[in-house]
Amino acid sequence: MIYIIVFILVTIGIIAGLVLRPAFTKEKGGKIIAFLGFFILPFLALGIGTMLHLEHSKTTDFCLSCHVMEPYGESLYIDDSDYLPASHFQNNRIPRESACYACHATYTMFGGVQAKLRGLKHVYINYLGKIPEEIELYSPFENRECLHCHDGARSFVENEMHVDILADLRVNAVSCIDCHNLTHNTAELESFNFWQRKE
Amino acid sequence: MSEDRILFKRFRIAGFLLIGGLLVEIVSLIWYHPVAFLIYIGVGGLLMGAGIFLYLYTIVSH
Repeated sequence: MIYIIVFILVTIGIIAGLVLRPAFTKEKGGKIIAFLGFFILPFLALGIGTMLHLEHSKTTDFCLSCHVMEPYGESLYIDDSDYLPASHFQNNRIPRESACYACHATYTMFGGVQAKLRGLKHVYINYLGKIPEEIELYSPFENRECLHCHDGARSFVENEMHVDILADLRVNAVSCIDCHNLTHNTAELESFNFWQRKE
Repeated sequence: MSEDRILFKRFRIAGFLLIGGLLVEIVSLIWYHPVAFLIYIGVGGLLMGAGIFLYLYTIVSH
């Protein structure tokens, strides 16, 4: 982060120099520096800044910075391993720093782009739109998102509960959530004990 | 107004737009909040885009 800020400050310095002494751009070397300062460097800064913001938009902190998402964040600390998001989060089955994104971005070619566009929509709704009373997924949770990590794992494919329905699970004919149906359960949060994370 | 003065004036405007956009970018990167992202795209991106466009337009039209 510090490097990009230094880079931006250097770019500002070059541009400020050109603004203060525009006659310098008449010289050959000045033309090259002007092209760098007015085009190449700002263009790079714009690209790097966008990339950093998009990367940051994957983080759990980013998702939970909207007030309406706070209960979902709390549900990751439910002290009960039957609760799917909590057990994944607490046992590092997903990266904690991008927990929401790991499960809720679809594992398709444009899944990441789609998630970011939806994220922009969520930011708009959070600040300028009407937040729905009940937050729901856009579409039923696809097994594809679970199988992206679990399919092929011995503990999954050899599990006696999975063996007979493996083919159905792979084509989404049977949903993982049908059995593993304890998810965020935000309405019942007050009744749970919570994991006290020790660093 | 001479050609050079018009050129320099446009460079100055492009420079101020770019500096404004870059300062917005620094603030948005330090703040790191969903609103910061919108400000970065909506204000910073717009200022930088306008600055770059004005500079490129100036050098191709002179």
